[in-house]
Amino acid sequence: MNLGTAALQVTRETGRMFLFLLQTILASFSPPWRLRNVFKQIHFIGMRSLFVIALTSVFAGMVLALQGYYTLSRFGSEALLGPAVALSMIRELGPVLSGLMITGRAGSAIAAELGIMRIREQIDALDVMGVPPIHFLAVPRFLAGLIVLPLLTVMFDVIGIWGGYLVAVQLLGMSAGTYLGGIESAVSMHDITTGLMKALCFGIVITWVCSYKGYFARRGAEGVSHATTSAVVLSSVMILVSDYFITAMML
Amino acid sequence: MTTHPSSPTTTELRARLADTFSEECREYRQRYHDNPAAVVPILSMQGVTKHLDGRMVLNGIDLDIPKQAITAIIGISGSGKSVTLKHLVGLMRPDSGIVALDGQNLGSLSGKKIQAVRRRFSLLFQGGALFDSLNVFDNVAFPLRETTRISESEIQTRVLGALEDVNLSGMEHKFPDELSGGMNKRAALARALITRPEIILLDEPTAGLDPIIENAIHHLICATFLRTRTTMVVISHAVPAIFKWCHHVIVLHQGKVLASGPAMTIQDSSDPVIRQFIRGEVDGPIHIL
Repeated sequence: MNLGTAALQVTRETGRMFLFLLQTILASFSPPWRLRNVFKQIHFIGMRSLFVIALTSVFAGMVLALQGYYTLSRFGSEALLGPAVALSMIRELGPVLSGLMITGRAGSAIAAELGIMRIREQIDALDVMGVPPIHFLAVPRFLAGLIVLPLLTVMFDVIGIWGGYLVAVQLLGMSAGTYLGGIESAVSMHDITTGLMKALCFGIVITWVCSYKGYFARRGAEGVSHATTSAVVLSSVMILVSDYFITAMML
Repeated sequence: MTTHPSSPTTTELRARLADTFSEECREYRQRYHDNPAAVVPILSMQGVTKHLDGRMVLNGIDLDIPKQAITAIIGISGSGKSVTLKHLVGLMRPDSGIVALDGQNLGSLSGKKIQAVRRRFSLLFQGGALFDSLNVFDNVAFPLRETTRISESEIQTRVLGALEDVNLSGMEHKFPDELSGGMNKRAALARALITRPEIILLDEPTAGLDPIIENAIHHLICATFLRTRTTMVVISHAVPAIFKWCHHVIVLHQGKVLASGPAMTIQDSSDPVIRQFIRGEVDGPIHIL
């Protein structure tokens, strides 16, 4: 493949992806409102991710406290461990790790499910029945992603900070007042808003990229496998790239 | 259960159905020969070309689908039958040429207009295309729930009736992966019929089924036609059986229409390609091996 063809292909693919996003956003504002489908997706993306989010967040908080204590103790600043854990969680790790976890657990499932529907002609069947497939399939997932990611991120933050508390207070013998008091004085509303804004954007990225990749899957089982892999890789990369730009904008 | 001595048996009913339909086909051929213009087309394609992955699949297709008749599209694998069907329902757009429904160019429609047109159709996909996450009842009820405002009790009545028509009573709670190939096709057929569309397109409704189920599905299609007079387009490899069950036949070969006309006329065609296809001979103008 020569350079020109590759460039055209990337441009075409990018254009199609943005058109898909635009169609999804526009369809979100048009009836019928399929609330049952939205709730079903909230349950699938959110409720069924609770365990993995709780597990990763508690260990993320614990390791952050352990590493933070080790680093801060070199400068005699152990008292800043609470704010360090909380700010890292709220501003950065909460939204990013939640996004990556949801990509792995729910995003891959979204891409695979839509991919199978595509190759088994179920998406064409919707079209023939006069049911707009983007409205029926992509919109509920998109709305669920918007609602669920910020909520899961909040949960990740809280459990992560609690994991840090376990290590700092129970293991390293720091006083609970120092740990929690530092958090209260250091964390501002702006930090929380930044984290939630990121979570919202990652919710869009995950459901958009994974729905798109599955929706346009081709060529049988191998095509679905390829769509799922590229959905997970692209969403993860886009989460990290957009994380940088959101951080830069909101500092 | 007792049967009235004078009431016809199922076998007699089937024989009567076949006789009625073959009489219809004879009348259709006569009408077509006397005055082809009297056979009104509902769908037509003019000069349709389509490339897929750099290969020309449709190479200037011109065809008419007669209204209120069963039309079979036949041809060897790769001749463009399924692609033609997807053009007829607007799932694919031609590179050039026109696909028209009642004279209206489908290529000029988009958004809600094309959705409204599509609701006049039903398409039975080759693999059934039932939704894996829904049971048989919900699959069949799906188009009614999504595209109509009829009550749930009415939906229940119609779905159970449709399932009875395709001999799937009692299977409402099964999921698609629990059904055999024949049951899957029949459930998909029930879903295609439930909205009482004007035009039903069937993509190989009997592919991969045993001869008994194949015959049963042909009977079912035919009985549905006689009851509803719906325009039907069937893609089929069930040659020569299909000639008994349709009025009109279109033969596709290498992306073009090779022949089109009443089933009986096509069956008697002297064209070597059609003769080879009907007889299933390996040697002839179509080179497979």
